[in-house]
Amino acid sequence: MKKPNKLENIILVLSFVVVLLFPYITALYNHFNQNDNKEKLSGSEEKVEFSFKNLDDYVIQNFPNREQIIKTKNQLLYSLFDISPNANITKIGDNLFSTETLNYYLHNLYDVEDKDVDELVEKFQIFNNFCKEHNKKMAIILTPCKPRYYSGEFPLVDNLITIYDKDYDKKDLISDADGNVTVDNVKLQKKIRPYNVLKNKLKETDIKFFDSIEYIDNNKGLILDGVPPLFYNSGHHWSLYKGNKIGLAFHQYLRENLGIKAPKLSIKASPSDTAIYPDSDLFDVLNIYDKPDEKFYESVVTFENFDTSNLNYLVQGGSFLGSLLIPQMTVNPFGDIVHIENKSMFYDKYRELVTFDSYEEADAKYSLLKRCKDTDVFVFEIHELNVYNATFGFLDFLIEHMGEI
Amino acid sequence: MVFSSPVFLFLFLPLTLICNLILSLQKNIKLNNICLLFFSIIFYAYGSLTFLPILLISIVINYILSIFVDKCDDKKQKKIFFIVAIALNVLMLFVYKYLNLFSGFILGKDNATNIILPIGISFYTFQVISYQVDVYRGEVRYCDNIIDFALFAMLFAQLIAGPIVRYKTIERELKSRTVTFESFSYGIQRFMIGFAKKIVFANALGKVSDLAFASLNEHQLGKLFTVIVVICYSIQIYLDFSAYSDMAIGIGKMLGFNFDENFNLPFIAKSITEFWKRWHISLSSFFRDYVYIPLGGSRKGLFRTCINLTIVFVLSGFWHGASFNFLFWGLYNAFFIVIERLINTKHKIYVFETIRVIYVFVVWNIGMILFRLETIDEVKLLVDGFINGPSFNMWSREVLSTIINPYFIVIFILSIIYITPFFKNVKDYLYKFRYGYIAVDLVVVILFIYAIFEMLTTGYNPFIYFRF
Repeated sequence: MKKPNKLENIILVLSFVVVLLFPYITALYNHFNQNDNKEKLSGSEEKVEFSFKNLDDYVIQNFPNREQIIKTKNQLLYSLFDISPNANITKIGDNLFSTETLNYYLHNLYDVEDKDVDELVEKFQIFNNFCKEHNKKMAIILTPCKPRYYSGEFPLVDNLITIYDKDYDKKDLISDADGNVTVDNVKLQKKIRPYNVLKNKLKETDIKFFDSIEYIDNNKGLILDGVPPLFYNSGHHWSLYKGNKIGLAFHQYLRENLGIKAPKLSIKASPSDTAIYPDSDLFDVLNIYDKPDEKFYESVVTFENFDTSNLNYLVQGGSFLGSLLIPQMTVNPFGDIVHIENKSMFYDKYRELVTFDSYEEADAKYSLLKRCKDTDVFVFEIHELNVYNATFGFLDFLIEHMGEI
Repeated sequence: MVFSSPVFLFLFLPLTLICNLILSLQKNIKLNNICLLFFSIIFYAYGSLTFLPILLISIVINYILSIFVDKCDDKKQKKIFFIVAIALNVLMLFVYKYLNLFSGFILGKDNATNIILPIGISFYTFQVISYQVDVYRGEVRYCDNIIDFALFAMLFAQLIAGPIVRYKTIERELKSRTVTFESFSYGIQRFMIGFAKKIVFANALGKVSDLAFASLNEHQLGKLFTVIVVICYSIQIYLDFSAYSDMAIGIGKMLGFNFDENFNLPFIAKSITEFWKRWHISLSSFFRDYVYIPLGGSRKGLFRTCINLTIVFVLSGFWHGASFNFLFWGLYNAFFIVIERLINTKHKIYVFETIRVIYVFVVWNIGMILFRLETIDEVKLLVDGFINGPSFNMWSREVLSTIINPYFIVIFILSIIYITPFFKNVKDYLYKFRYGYIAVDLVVVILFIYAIFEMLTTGYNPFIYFRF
């Protein structure tokens, strides 16, 4: 065996030196070329402040051209192995899912007890009674998760998932339409999903609620068939167009059950060159150079009449809520609308957006309670995977301050 | 500081290498040693500042005691100084590593003393003990310069995760060393291999085993996946630790030190006895030279040999960690080594080599369960999942989707191949050709760059052997 010659050693040493000097060279290059790193990453991360304790994290976060490095590595994994480079996203075939959502939905993992749901419904009942007494209206909308409509697409992994009962038929692992899981195992005692429990409890009350899951099941042709799909391969949320469609049904429900008039409008899907946020939100956080390989559509709204109630709205919920509010968001024919999503709030007809740490802070700084007092219609969105924490503490806040509303 | 961190790679290492290069060119070994000691102190302080003063005081005391041990003509006094030196080091190890365990055991509560294990203490202590013994035995003279001694005791290359370097190994290099272009280049290659091995391979396997073991209370793994997860862990430990040794040896070469090899393809061993001659060689040889042979080795009959072996492996087990599972792990290894000794002494049994290699692999992997799981309940859960669980299924989707993943499968297969001599043979074969070195280096550089990408984009980067 021959020894490495000088040239071979030089090549290796030079490669090493170049790699070690890479951050300095690129930082200098960026500095002198005013290169402000045009590549931006999707998804947020907590900013690491400089300190000796966090030095490694700080260096990583501020590494020159880190964005390109992340995208290059992610693209490699995505292209070579056909996998999601982001652990929070699972790629099954061409379809992307939030890993947490997938795990939860398929295995009913969230620790929500029936009594938790009872407690939630009780609180809604208290606030509903309050609304009735104060000439206000309240409604709830239940929204679905993506895996519910793609449960047949996970053969490899899900066929291997256990099953302690030897006679268990693997296909039964995936819940039926009511969310029942028939695995006889202590870890899977909950046979009914929190969503089903909530729905049944709500039915026992006089609270008005619109179950979009049931609506979709009853209108499969309208919602599940045709383009665009209910959920894009690259998105976590329902597609803007189909969400709008369901939004129209929701407003129809409000008209019929609470007497709230809304403008009559029709929606058409029109092809779009790019995805309209949040249609490709999962794909975006893969942070790769590729673009999503599917056709996106935008909603083209036509108003047929403006027969509306001049009411103030307060809507609170998660990220599925946006596309449901099509009349409010497009022409805003109502009074004011306050839209609260976790710890952020739009008001003044979507002209203002603020964030806060607590509802108390939102009240002190942005007069939240005054806005609640002026509200005529309260709408709460509950996503089926977020039943227990559905209102992010907002309902408790409202109940606590009912005297001030 | 860890080798696989950006601060080390892009700041600490280049600075150290540049300073070392400048001082080497000036042939100023004293200044060079001071410089390396300074960097070693920075290196250690970055990770364990609170323990640094104790480490430095310990170095000074050991240095003074070694002078007394060496220079004392009176044998009795010499022995007393020696015993004091050893006792101090053992006491320090006991207080910082084991007091918490024993006081917790006696008082019946966890973390009874709140003492935090200083990183690298096991390696440091053993290194200094070996020095004291060698001086006492007259195998080496005491180190005549405290800077050189301090550098031997805490050179950053091997301070945190070994190998355990004997004073005699680097005695001459502390006084005079040269870095040739060839050795520097070899050091770079070795460092890059270790770096990639750690970040690309060991971490990927570790992710699976950590996930699976962490979810044992909630999910049975089933038969097939218990086997896969245990193998993952076993290979992860090997890759992780041998990667650190590769990086240490590589850095040593770049600085002009020649450390002994610490691993020699342990998974091709044909007996557990041979395995331990190939695994963590610096630890095995420490126990051989400083415990086993002084106890009488194999010179006092078969029974006494077996007792000595058991003592060595119990101590070795306990050295690996301050919890009782390591004690059982040591006993487990001792059991097989004693059995092998008994069989080899009384009968010569011929077994196919492949079967012997498989036997070692199986025994070692089962032992790794004791190594990894700290409570009997966890072991029971794992064993129950293996015996009563389904053959090919498992519950945890998180674990399963991490395993049934093309990237992981490729890493797993390459890791399995890596524990065999295959890659070494391929490398040796390629070296016969004109562009063989360049081809190998190209692969190494690509892996190294990918590992850096991985380091910069993943937060998951623990070093297993820090516990020891």
